Amino acid sequence: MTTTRGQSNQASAPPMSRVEWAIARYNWYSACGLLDDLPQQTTEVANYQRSPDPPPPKPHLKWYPLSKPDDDIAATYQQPVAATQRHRYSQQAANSHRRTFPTRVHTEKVLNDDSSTMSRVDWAIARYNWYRACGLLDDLAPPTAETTRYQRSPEPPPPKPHLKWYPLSKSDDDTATTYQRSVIESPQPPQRRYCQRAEHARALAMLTRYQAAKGAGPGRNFDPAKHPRADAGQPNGGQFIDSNTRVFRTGEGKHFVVSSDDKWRHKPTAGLHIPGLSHEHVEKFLDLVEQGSALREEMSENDRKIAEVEDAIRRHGWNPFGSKAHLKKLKAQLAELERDGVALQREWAKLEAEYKQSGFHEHEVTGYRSGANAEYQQDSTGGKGFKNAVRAYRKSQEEDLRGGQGVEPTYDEMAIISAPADAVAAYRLGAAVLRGGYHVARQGGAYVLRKSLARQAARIAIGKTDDFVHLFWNKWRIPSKVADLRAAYNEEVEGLAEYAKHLLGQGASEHEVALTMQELRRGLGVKYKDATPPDLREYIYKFNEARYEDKLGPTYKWLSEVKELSDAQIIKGASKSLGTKQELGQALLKHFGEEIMPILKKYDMLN
Amino acid sequence: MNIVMRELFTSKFLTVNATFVRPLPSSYRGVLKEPCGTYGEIGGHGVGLFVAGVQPCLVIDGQAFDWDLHQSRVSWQQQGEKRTLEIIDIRPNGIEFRVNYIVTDVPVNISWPETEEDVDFGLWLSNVINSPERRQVLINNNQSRISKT
Repeated sequence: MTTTRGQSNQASAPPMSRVEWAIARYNWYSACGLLDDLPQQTTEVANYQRSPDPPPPKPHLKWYPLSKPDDDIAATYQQPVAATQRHRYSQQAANSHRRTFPTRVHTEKVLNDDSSTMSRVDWAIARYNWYRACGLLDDLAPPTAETTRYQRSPEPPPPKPHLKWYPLSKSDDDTATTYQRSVIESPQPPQRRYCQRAEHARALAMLTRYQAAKGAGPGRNFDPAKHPRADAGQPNGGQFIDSNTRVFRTGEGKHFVVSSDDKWRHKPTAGLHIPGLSHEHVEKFLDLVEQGSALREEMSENDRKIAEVEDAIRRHGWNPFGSKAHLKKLKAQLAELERDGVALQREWAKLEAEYKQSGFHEHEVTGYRSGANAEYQQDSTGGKGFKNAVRAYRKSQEEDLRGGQGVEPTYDEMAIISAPADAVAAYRLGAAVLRGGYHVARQGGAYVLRKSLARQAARIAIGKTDDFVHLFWNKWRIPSKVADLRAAYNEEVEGLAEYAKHLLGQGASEHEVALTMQELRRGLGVKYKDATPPDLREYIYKFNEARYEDKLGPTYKWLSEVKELSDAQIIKGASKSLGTKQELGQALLKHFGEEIMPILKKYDMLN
Repeated sequence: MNIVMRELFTSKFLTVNATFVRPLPSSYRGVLKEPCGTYGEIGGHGVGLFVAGVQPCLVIDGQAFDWDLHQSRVSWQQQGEKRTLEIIDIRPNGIEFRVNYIVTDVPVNISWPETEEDVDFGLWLSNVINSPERRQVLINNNQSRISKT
């Protein structure tokens, strides 16, 4: 059987310490009658055998980290062949009559012909044995992170196919001194870094997916009839309420109606009411959420313990001095923990079923409009999730009780934010609040009336979900009326500032962010110009071409080369809102004169 | 020396015949063949900003000089509708230029949030020359123009 050190680490046979290995080598040479060929024992081995501590690895040994994902154990011990050693080797080959040595060794190949060359793991084991034999286990330094990682892995990974093993000597020589290998540097794994093009590609892909699934999601083409609610058939249930009237059920048969002539009128938000909403209901939900959190923690603790015991069992397998009784004990412990895990899983499933039956969906958010509750403002309901919203609900209840205003809060003070589950499932609560809070959802609406609050939610949403929420948000928010176009455009442009901050926070350079911002700004321009009536749009194109040499407005190049603006100024400008519709009308009138007057009048763009 | 310059914020190019009030280092010559600056009219005077190599230069009514951080000054002031641009260079053969002017255009926010400097070349000039970042943008743009040609 041919045995090499690299293979022995990967097979079941335990690795040998340097001393054991030196002895094995001596025996092998002795049995072959080749003792004359046996190299002199190195000083290091001698020192090792004498000193209480094993010597540290030689500085000239190159240790390759185990932590590289594409690395393997064999790559961890390599010794570059020194020039003198190559010379000696050649001399030996030339002078030897009994053995044939290779006539040359390539410099890029590495040779492991010295018993002092150990892998880190070999060395760690040898050190462990040494301290153990000396009775100094308490003094043994804890294993390094790398060693631990290695020991935790189920098995050392196999050598990569690109690593080639070359026999150095005759085929009957199978000692560990006889293999060398050429090591091709493994390429570094690609580092994730900000890339504008990739960013755009990702966003585009996500938008494409969204558009593909648009029929089932919210947006301009959303058809409520295709998405019946579970409460269909009940009073005020299962239907989307028109944009000027809102009905909030308080449970127990009561409901609160906001009619079209009240203060909500200018916010044509439709609301899905939650049937059966009552304090008891919310309390139950809150309990379930809290129980679930506690259970989750318990489960992760159990998982951690299981991992620890498995790790201990694995280490035991490598320890030649480990006792069977200890192993048995560990295995019993593992079995018990696994049984606990199964029980916890069952409990979780039960809780989950109960949660689903409670009538709340994870996409429903309850909070307070206008930041009526400080906790709501602080936690920004959407970002933190339903749990905090419910807490806010409960807190308000307490306040109401203290104030003697009755058991239930008035629903005038509370907003129910609900979005269709299939629409926001992927984007979580943040997106729902983002969408609902800032603008208008034509179906399954939401309202957080204060813009600042919605911005806060948006910021968290961007942080919590992917960047494309921002783009999604833009995609959803095209208003149908020309009157709203300019205002909506300005709102979106202002929103870019948040996105720029986000990108800068991710480590993108100013230049990259400026390019991205300007592209997004132009993208918004395309979107809104498409929605602009064609006659008006033509004049805007003409103006832009005359002033900025591009019909969509200034490009990054133009701003940088003609206006000589810095990147910071471009970022700032890209997220700065433009004038109102009337100001736009004035500017166009000044540029084009009387010829544009009919169009401006038509769209009410004159003061 | 003819210097090709772009009219302020337009796609028109002008060739300005300028004389340097003092000789430029030889390294700056030979890079002025391509369009390399911006030119505008202020109060009946032609004022331009261009880069020779990495050196920002100003041209006022055909007289060009290199702008020095410590010995040249460009300042802009506004009092009511009257605006004043002052360019001073204290070196030998220096320049002292002061002009009062009125701007009738107003910035428009159709596709880009414009500011006063979009309609006032004097303010733009003062802002660019006095801002290290924008000066660097100016120089970098010139470098990229040279490398392209």
